[in-house]
Amino acid sequence: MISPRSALAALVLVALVASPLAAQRYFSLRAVRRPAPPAGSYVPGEVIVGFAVADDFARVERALRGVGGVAARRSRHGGRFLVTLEEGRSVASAVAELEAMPEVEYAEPNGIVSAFLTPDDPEFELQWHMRQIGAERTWDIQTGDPSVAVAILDTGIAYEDFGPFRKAPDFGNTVFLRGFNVFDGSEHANDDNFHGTHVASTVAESTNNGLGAVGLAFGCALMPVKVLDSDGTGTFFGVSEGIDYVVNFRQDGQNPVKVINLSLGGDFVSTTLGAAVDRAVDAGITVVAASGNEGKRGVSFPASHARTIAVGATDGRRERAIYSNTGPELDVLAPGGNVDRDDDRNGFPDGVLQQTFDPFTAAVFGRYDDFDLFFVDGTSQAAPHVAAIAALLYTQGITDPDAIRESIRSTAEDLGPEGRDDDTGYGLVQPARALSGLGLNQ
Amino acid sequence: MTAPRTAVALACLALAAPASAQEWFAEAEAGGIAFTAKDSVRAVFGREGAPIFGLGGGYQSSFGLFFRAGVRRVSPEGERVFVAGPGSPVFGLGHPLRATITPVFGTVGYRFGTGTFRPYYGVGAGVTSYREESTIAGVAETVDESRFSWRVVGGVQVLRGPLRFSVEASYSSAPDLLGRGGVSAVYGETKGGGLSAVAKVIFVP
Repeated sequence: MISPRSALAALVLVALVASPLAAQRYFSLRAVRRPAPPAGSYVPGEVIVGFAVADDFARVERALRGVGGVAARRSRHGGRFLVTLEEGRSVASAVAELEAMPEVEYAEPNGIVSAFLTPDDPEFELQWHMRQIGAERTWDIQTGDPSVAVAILDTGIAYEDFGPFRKAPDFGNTVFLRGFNVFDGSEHANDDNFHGTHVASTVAESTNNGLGAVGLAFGCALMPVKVLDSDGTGTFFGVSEGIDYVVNFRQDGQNPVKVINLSLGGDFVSTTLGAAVDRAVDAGITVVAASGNEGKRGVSFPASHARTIAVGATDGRRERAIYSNTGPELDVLAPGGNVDRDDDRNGFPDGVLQQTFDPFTAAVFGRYDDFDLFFVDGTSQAAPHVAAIAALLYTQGITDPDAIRESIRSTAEDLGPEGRDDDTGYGLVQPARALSGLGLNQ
Repeated sequence: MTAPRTAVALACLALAAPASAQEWFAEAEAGGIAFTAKDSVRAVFGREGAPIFGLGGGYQSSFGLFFRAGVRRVSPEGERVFVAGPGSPVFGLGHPLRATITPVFGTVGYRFGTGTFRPYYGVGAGVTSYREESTIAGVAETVDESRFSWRVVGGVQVLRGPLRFSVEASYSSAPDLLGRGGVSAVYGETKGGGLSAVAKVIFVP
């Protein structure tokens, strides 16, 4: 459960997001005959057969040979057999022939089952934002792969033990790539604010490890890139430097970074930053950015750039959060929450719940090891949900940024007026639908 | 005047010398089809065509006219994909997909001649059913559609005793069978059917 201290800390965070720097604010049938199961849902060449005369081996063998059975294994717990058919024998026709035999009680294909992942992370039940976008069904399809990384350009991440900094406890199974700190040019992109760690945790907090909360693309790797200082402030030049570091990064001759998350923004258009975004997209990297938290008409930059995915926020009611900026550049909404509301009436504020360290302890005592789970709201919290979806889509096989953006847009749940609108964009992201792709006629 | 000429020609064909004795027949066929919705089919199945199989039967009159009814089945396998728009790259997503297209037709036509090789043509109408099944992480998704369809056929029959053979080409179309969603909606391809070529074995009791 969330400690009272965490709830208090959430209030502190609300106070912090009211600081004057724009970059920091973006956190705030009945059938006589059963229909044949679809191809791919059963083991080819195998049939399960239940016999009324299971101990009459001569009859069993005669029946099974009659349908092309070449091997059979009897269950240790009853009169059923797992039968291997001769090569090229149709499972459907074998089942039909067996069902017509008087000695056979039933016959069916050997269906394939798969685990429906419900993570054992104890605070997952409080992550309404993951349920809002169908995270469990998403994980049935794709959980990510460390060969695909998301760069978090932010205040850094609590990803290593270095100097006064400590690795956050629920990053135990998370893979990190070499980071970059644009302020000192080093590879130590440690978080001295709290914001970057919270954003990164939405993407890939270690999941199904019996600890803390979950991340949406927990199988993917993270790259920490520190472009915002301890106040959550940075510059267009610094963010551009961070993007170029990501674009030029190589590991074994490849660049595993396929997504950049920018939970930050400024008030005017920058040629420098816009060109950096173009270089990233040209390099095959999807760039996701937060729309801004002023509740105004006007998407912040670089979210307003034509080649980014501009993300606004929903609250717990699946409506646009009151603070989420609107405009023609807005692409989609994702859960950003509202810590002033408790629409699920569970006694906790409806912020996005992820791990980070206590910003109060950090600011006052210079300690970056006081980790807990914190509710935070903002388009900053919405954007990493979309960055995670982009990483999952890349892992699933969509490798072009424009296609990833179109997949996310076209599968969103339409909110507000029918069709795209400036308040809700294409609607609320639906990762499982995006990962399912398109059939010929559905 | 084209219409009177056509009517006279058809009357002459109908009243032409008996091509053979009247008879009932059954037939089995196998061949291939190139789908009209070629972009959509290529995206999902990796090729524009698929093998086709069919069974049927009918009646051949002594005046050359014939009627036949039959069913065909095409069942290509592929995978679910994503494509942003026409001309955009296609990305395979690995979820297995099978489409089963089953046209049922009644066809009327005319068979020429009295020799060993007898050309024929015909027109038909019927219903084409479409079933698409895909499995995404253990969950099956299915769509079923049925639409009116028509076709034109032409071929040559080889008569050698009670067992006969023919080769036949046909064009079929099932308007609005596709295009309700998926890749076919992206490409704006709405017609089921296509151009097919089959070899037939014909049994005459």
